[in-house]
Amino acid sequence: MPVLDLSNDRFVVATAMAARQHVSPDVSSRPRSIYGPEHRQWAALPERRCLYCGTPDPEGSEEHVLGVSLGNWWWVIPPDVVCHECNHGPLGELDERLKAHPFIALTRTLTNIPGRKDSRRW
Amino acid sequence: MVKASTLNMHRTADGSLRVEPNHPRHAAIDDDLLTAQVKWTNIGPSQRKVTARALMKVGLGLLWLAKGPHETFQSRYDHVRDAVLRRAPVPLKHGFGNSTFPNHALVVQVISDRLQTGLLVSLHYFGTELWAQSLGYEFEASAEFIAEDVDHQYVDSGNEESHK
Repeated sequence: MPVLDLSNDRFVVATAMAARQHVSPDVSSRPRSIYGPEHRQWAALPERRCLYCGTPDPEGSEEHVLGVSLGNWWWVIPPDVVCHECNHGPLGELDERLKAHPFIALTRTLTNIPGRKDSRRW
Repeated sequence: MVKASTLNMHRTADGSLRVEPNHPRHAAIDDDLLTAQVKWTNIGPSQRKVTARALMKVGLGLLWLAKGPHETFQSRYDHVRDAVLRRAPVPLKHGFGNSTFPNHALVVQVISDRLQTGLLVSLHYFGTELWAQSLGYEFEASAEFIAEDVDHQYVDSGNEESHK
């Protein structure tokens, strides 16, 4: 599930890719979060601010770039990059609204893509 | 859970697919073939705007993973932050269509032109593409772009012109 930086002098381009088998209900076959040492280093930079609201020295848990409910367990921003208020407030609400989008909901249901609760159940 | 105006659909505890039509005419089973008529009524301007904001949130997060805070804290992305948190009016275009990737692919793409403010985010979700585009704040975006804002017009990504 790589996140690729394909930028050049003119365009900033980022692409992230995964496949159907990566969103399996089987927890043991699910890839882990992709953030590594450089991400932890970025998250610990001095004068850091919340990525979304700009609050200085944010404290919060991991932020899933795409909601867990859409099957994403690996594109994760490390803790303390996004503040708790954003992560569990407007960002969580947007994840829920995207999950409820008719085409997303239809795809999730028909193809049996489990979210956090569903994974516990199965 | 799928909530359409003609039926609800969800997975049961054992993983089976359960379809509950509001009226028998909306679904029929012939041997192992299920035919269902799904009609959506909940894709209005409000739904489109919030979907576009959700995609902007995804895009900025992915940019952070790919390029880090030195990129994402540039002021050219301030309008994205304000759009996500609804702190300022930001024109957003949004559309959907069939994904150009295979049906088993989950892909997120983010593109930004360094010569102008704005962000294009595409989410390819197992066969369906949802996309959203910004061009800065209201005073930065062109009149043509604002005219195609989600509050004014729904732009189908099947139309190649809509990505320009």
